[in-house]
Amino acid sequence: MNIINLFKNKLDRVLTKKPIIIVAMIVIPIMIGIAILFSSKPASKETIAFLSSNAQNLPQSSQFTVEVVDKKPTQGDLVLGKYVAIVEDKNDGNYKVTSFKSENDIKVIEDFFKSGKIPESYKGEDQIMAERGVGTNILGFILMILLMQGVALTIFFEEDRNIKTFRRILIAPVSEKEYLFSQGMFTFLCLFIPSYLAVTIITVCFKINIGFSFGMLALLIMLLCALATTFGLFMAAVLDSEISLVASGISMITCVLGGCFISFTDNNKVLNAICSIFPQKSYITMIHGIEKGSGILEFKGQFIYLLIWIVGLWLFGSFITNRKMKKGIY
Amino acid sequence: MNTVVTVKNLEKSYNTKKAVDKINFIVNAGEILGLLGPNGAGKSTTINILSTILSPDNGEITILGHDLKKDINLIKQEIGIVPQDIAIYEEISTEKNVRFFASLYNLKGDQLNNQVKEALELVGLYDKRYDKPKTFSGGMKRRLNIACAIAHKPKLIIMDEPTVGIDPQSRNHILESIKILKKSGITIIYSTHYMEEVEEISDRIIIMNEGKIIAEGTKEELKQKVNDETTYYFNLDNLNNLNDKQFYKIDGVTKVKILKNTLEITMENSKDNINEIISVITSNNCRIENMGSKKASLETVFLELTGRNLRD
Amino acid sequence: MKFIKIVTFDFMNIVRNPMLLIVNTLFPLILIGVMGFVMSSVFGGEGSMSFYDYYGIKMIIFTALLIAMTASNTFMEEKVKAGNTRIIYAPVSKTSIYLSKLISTYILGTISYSILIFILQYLFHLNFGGRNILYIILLINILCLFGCSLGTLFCCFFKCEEGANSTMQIPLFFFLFFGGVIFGVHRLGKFVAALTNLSPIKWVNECAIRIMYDNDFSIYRPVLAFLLIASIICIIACQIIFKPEEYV
Repeated sequence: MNIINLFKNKLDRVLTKKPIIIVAMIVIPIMIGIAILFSSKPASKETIAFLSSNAQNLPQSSQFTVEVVDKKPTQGDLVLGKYVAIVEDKNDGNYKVTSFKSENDIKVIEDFFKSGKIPESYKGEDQIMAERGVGTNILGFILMILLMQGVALTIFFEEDRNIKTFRRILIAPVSEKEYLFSQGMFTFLCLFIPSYLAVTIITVCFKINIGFSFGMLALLIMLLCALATTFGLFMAAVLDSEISLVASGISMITCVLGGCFISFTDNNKVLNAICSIFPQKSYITMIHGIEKGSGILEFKGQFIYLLIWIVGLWLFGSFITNRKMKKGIY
Repeated sequence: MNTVVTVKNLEKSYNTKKAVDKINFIVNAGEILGLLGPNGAGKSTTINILSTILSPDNGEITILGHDLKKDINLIKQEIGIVPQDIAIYEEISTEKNVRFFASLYNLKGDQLNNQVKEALELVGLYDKRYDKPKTFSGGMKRRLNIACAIAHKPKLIIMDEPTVGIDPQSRNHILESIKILKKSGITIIYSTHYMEEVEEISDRIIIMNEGKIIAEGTKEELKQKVNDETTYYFNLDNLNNLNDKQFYKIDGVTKVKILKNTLEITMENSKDNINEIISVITSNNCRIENMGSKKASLETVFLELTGRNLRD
Repeated sequence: MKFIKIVTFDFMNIVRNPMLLIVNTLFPLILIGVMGFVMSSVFGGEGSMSFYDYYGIKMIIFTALLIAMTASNTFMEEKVKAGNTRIIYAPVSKTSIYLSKLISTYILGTISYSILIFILQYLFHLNFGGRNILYIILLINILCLFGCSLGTLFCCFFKCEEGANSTMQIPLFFFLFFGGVIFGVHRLGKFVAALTNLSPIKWVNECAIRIMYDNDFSIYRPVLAFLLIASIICIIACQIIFKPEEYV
């Protein structure tokens, strides 16, 4: 009963904080919608600038667009991504390729102009991204947004401590576990409802195949929201101030290292092992596999690992809050 | 008389500093116990322990027949705390504030509605129930602070400096509300720095200093501790020729204070040598413009006891 | 003289906050390292420009704009707000109250990002323009000013740090996303490419890269001017909106 009363209290308070409502209910869904639209939409092909006085029979490829230019583009154009490579026709059947891509990529482009073909085994940047799957890319991006938003929605915990109502609540027959549970419930629902609705509405309206059924999507987003909720509670328990700032920084860095935006493995085993610790890595591995057609049960290990993180963050946050209470900090 | 609170050998330290040092006291049912002490005396620590949010290092505490260590939730159900900080939500209405806190004590439905109404009426905020506290004056916020603590009709209320920084009208309102609460049989522990409040409403008083209880009793019992002396004051036209040594020679004089144009002399009641004092004054060509005497007040008691101990 | 005292005091308040210091010093370094490491692992690092170079300038731009959140913290974070309230009662102008927060944060940004860029170029051998490093530093400096002005403006409008930071995320996200510092968006279609022109970050990014790689200063002055004018507009808006009595 107290949990419901505490939950109602948060609802009453959130209605007075319009910026939070706007961000949670409008901005975040829009960001998710944009992410879905751009993830599902094929980007225009990478462009190669071709400098030639006699451009004929330009090679065609599904990966590159060849644009004939009369003036050599600058290095800046390459860095800005306007062109992915500059190919100069030496008029003797050879080509000079200037690019910031790897040597292997440069060789492929050179051969492309010479032979008009790209090896089938070659994977460009877009292909690498596309192999991950639309759903994985979308949920990877959403993961970072929700981790940050989860902390933002734990604002009432911080506020209760600052204005001393937390103390007042704990003097009542309410345990700190009940309080944290109600805060968690509130954060979870405020994360899950708008994000799930945003994903389903956008995918239905724009007829995007996200790679998951709606039921599976609900489960995967629930898992995400649970992780974001317990992360937010943990950060709010550990830190007394600058919670959003620190949590945003940690979210960004761990999401990049966890492979939310792009999956990677390094030759360095130690670094790989460190990156594997992050729950995001397990999550991405799991959703990638599910999107490719495997069942969730094939990823029991990853699923359990995620649950361990969720429960662990919760318990640790609870423990720290309890300890601070006993010390009289609140 | 029933005992509502029993505290035995209570101890609490923060690192090496002893905040509460083996104190013992009781609170009787239906009384208002005043808790006095300078800053750092240990009052807030004691209150926080009784409020159940701070664990003691040692000691036994029984509140309403329940052991603090074993029956904490039962105790919480029966007590109300008015914290020193105004712990309310400024952005939601007055009524919602009281309702929310009362609901945490298992109140529901009509019972909740009625008790919320009663609490707001008691503190004089019922007509402002839909207003948000951010529009309130400091006094009104303090009254709401109290309403949130009493709505669930606790048997014991602990008030930690409930009238700090508010206007006299609000303060009087609060004191009247406390008297009404007392009449309904509620026991109150009242911590304050305002002597006149303690004098007005307390049945018994505890004075703390440096973690210990240095005096305990009714107002009269405490005043008796320093009541063996009377302080006489004289407003004189000049103090040029006077010095304290002249007065200390007089039998019974315990303290002499020479201020700007006032002479204060404290004398034992058993030695009635006021005539000698006047004689010294007049023989030094000083004209007495006004004179009077001050019996021991609670403030005197407090200053005497805590001052004495600070010097020890 | 009073203004300088207030600015100094506000600056010391920021310096005493370890999180704010870390966000404006270590965090950009960590971001560059992480992004460079991840992208190198995926796309290979044997090309003539490393991903550390590529993300060096981008992450500096990214974190320099986020100084807006440091500014809002300096102005209205709960711990400093109480003490700062006293300034309102002191005989200082209304302008001093908000401007001191802006300037103190700007000074922090100037010092930290200048040092960072020097360290990144000369210690870590990342490309920040070589001999043109001072132009890049000035560009980032003015971007910091813009960020500080934006953060202060949002605080004046929302009167609390929480409201300011929550709402400020929207324009910041827009600027950063369409600015292409997180990932390139220019290939997402003509409409998106057109939208990127609305983001000042796109122009800052392009300006920096043109200077660093092409020694091309053609858009340097216009970008600086735009950022300066935008900062001045924010400051004027602060002057109009800010009411000291609402700060209490």
